[in-house]
Order: sequence, then structure tokens, then C-alpha cells
Amino acid sequence: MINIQELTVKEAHKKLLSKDITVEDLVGECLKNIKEKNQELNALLEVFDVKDDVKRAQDMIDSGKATAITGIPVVIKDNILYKGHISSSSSKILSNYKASYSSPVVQKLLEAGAVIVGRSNMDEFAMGSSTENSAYGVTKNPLDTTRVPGGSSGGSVSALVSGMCLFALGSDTGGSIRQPAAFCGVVGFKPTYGLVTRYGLYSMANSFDQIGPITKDSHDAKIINDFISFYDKNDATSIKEEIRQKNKNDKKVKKIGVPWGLVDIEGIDKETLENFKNNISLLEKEGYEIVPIDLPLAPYSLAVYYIIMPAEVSTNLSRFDGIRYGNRVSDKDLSGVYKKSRGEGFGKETIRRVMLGTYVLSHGYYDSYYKKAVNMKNAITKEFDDMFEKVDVIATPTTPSPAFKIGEKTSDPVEMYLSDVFTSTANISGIPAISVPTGKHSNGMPLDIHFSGRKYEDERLIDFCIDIEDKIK
Amino acid sequence: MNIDDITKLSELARIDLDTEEKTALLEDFKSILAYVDQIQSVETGDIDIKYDDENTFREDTVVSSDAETIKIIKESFPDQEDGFLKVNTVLRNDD
Repeated sequence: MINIQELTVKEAHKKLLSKDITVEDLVGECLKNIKEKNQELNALLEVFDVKDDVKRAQDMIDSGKATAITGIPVVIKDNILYKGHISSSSSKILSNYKASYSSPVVQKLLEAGAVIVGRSNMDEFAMGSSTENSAYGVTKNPLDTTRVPGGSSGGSVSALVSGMCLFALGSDTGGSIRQPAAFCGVVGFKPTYGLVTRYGLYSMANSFDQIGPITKDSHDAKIINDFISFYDKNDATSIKEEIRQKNKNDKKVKKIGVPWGLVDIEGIDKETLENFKNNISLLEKEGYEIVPIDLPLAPYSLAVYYIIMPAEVSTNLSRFDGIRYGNRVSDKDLSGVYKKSRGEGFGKETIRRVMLGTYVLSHGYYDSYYKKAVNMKNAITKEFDDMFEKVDVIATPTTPSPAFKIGEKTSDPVEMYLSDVFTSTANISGIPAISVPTGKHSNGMPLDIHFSGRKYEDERLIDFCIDIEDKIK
Repeated sequence: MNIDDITKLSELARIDLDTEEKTALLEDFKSILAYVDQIQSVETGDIDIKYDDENTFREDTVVSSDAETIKIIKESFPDQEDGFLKVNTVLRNDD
């Protein structure tokens, strides 16, 4: 009997190598959980036929060619392309869209023998913090089905926590990996911008988007990150190998910066703040040097994000017009086809952001919104870069409050956006960041801590989390 | 900002919206813009940051796809005739 919900990638790998279990056992357990739980949770939009992949993975193991993820079941977010499979970005306009190529990240997982069991639900085009914006229904939090799993990678996280896979891929533009990971008590990692290829990932806000792993612990995050982090010529912003090597830093983390001005904000949940303070005391007892720091511009990250992101969304989503692929609504002329296909094909939040982006880029508002926000983005990036000359990592909570109820924040967009107040800082400044579970709220939901690190020091950041995660649980 | 501005934006964004949707968007815009307007009070000046990545160029050559890829792409056409993508008439002779 395998307890899938407790099993890590690392342990499963050992069991597979020692022939304790077979790939079929492992995948079978996940498929069983999918069958039992997916109807209620709505974590997966589609389950793939994996018979051949299971056999191939077992052959790799039997012939001594296994990698650390051979035979490991994984789900991918519905905005990551997998050739020959539907990839809809949870949008109605792409309900039947079949990918004509695979993301190199997917390619890498397949080559390594991982078994992709399905594609997971998400907020449409990754826009949302609760997975309530999917055209295919709300995903529920497996720990409390009256609550949201967070978003936009809510389906990926819900699938992992409910035992439908052993790790999942998500994408993070403003917090979409880390916030749902925090809401469901698992680890979510957003790599440094440019370290994981965006080729084959639907562009939402391309200056911020990154694919990253969602795992049960930091060690698994390290394993998966090793597979998906590489230079790719198909992504013009992919970081070249020599720059990766040049910036490697093996030194142990010693100094933890805490930006109290950013953390202790109006509206932060009392227990969230208390828990964070306890975590910091524990880390101090462990011998880390805690440095109170001041990041005066960082609190503006979310406002900057809500200008640049919709601007990029409005341009990136212009390709969905019902002409070459996707759903077309006919009309008397071409312009009518565009307007009707988009009007009927896009959900409410998507329309909101495309419209907002069109506004901030329009004549008369470009300088005061877009240009101003880009300058702020640069200033915030510099503020973080300079701060990492003084400290090794920066700690905040991941989210200002634990998982909220389904429907609680759908009527007020700004209230919803505030979920990303801490996480968006890392997307604005391009740095790596990770959410690690620590403790529980009195309402039973998991609490969390968020660490960001110096640009390119992704491994150092994850290694630090491996060292401390058991101590702050 | 008023409802006419929303109508203009929806034309620019090529999205068909009814009056109810436009009214709701106008309300949303007010609260979102009030939130993002906080950056107007911050003075940063022009800040240049150094990027490690550089422009990536490639030869502008035709690379053909394999038959399976072409098949998948063609299957995605919303409308087609004799294997070609079909769209509405773009130029019309109104005489």
C-alpha cells in the first residue's frame, strides 16, 4: 500500500529503484485518486492515456537508465503546451485547441521518463488568485472544499495535495505558483526570470512569466528545478549557460533580511503576522542573523504590476481572434468576427485586464501609467539588487491571509489582487522566490513563509529552505 | 472616465460588450485605477538597469514543419476550404 499523499518524489524514486513498487502501482494510485476526488475538486481538466508512458518508464528503470523522475506521475498546468494534446489555458476561446509542439520543459520531463497524467485547471490565461476564473468551473481546496486553492495554478496544487500526482508544474506571473502552494500547505518555487524557458508557455505578461515546480518539500523542488532549468534558444530571454555558471554561489545563507515596513501592512491577518514573527524567532535561534531592512519602494510592486501586467496581457492576447485557431463566432465582416469571438470567448477577468491594458497603453495615458510603471519597476529591481549586497535572503509571509472562502472576493477585484501583495515583488524584480509551509491558522488552513534570493541564486535559495523547512514546520 | 471611454476601449481591444458589461467595467476601472494611482506620488526619475541578456538574432529562413505538425495546425483552423484557412471577405466590391 502506497500512501501517495505523504510520498515525495525522492522517496518514490528510491522505492521504484529497489522494486518495492512499480511505475504501474504508482500511477495506478494517482489514477485512483483522480477517479475518486476529481469530480468534487475539479483539479484536472483532462486525464491522459499513459499506458505507453508507464511501460516506457518501467523499461528505463529495469534497464538501469532511470533518472530521478522516471516513472513519477506529474500534472501540467493547462497553459503549458504538450504536443497533440488540448491546451486551453482554461479559456472558452481555446476549448478545442491542440498544441502543435511541446514546451521544451515538457519535452525534458518526457525524456527523463516522468509520466504526465493530466492537465490542470487554472484561472483563465493565468489571471486570478483563486482558480475561480476558469471557463471550466472552480477548483476546490482539498483541505477544505468550501475554500479556494489559490491561483492561478490552483488545479496543479489541488492535484498534488489530493494525491493525483507527485509533483506539478505551474506558472507564476505575480504569485501564481507560490500563493496557491501557500493556500494548500506545499512548496511552490518561482525561478529567476529567464532561467526556465517560456517557449511553449502561453504568454500572459511575458516580462514576468516563469514556469516552476510545485512539490511536497523543498528537496523535491530542487530535484524538479534541476530538470527544467536550462538555456533554450527558442526563448529570446533565456539566460545563457555561462551567465548561470558565473553567478553560482555555494555559500551557506547566513543573513536573513526582514522588511517589516512591507510585512506589517494594513489588512494583514493577525495570526499570519504572529506566525511569521515566530518563524523569524525560530530562525534566529537556529543561528541565522536577522537583519531588519527597509525597502521603501517594494510596497508599490503590486500597483506597478497592475499596470505593466495588463499592458502586456492586452498585447499578448491580441493573437486570440478566432482566425487561425480557437473558436470563431461568425459575423458579417472580419472586424465583427474578432469582436464577437473575443467577446464570447473571453471570461470576465480576462476582458477586464485586456481593457485595462488597452487603457494604460493608449495615447494620453502611456506616459503617466505605463512609462511611469516601467521606471518604478527598474527602481524596485535596483532596490532589491542593492539589498542582496547586504543580506542573503529576504523573508515575508507568502500571503496576507490564509485560503479564503469560494466567492468571498469575486465581487471586488482589488481585494482579490491584494493576495499577491508580497509575491509580486519577486516578479517585478526578476528574482527567485519560494513559499514554504509553516504551521496552521486557527481555522485549520496552512500558513506559510516566503523567501526571495539574489538573481540567479536559485539553488542557494532552495538549499537554504531544505536546511530550515523541518525546523519551522 | 465615462461609459463612452469604455466603448472606445472595447473598439480598440476588439471585444464586443453589452451595456451591462460596460457599466460593470466602468466601476471596476474606478477602483483599480484608484489603487494603481498610488505610484504617481513617487518620484524615481529615469532609472536604467543593466540586463545580462542581449538581443538574440537568427537568420530569417524558412524552416518547414513535419507532416504531423502541419496536420495538427490545419485541424485547428476554425474554417477551411481545400486545406486552406478560410476567412471573411476582406476587400469588397461595393459597385
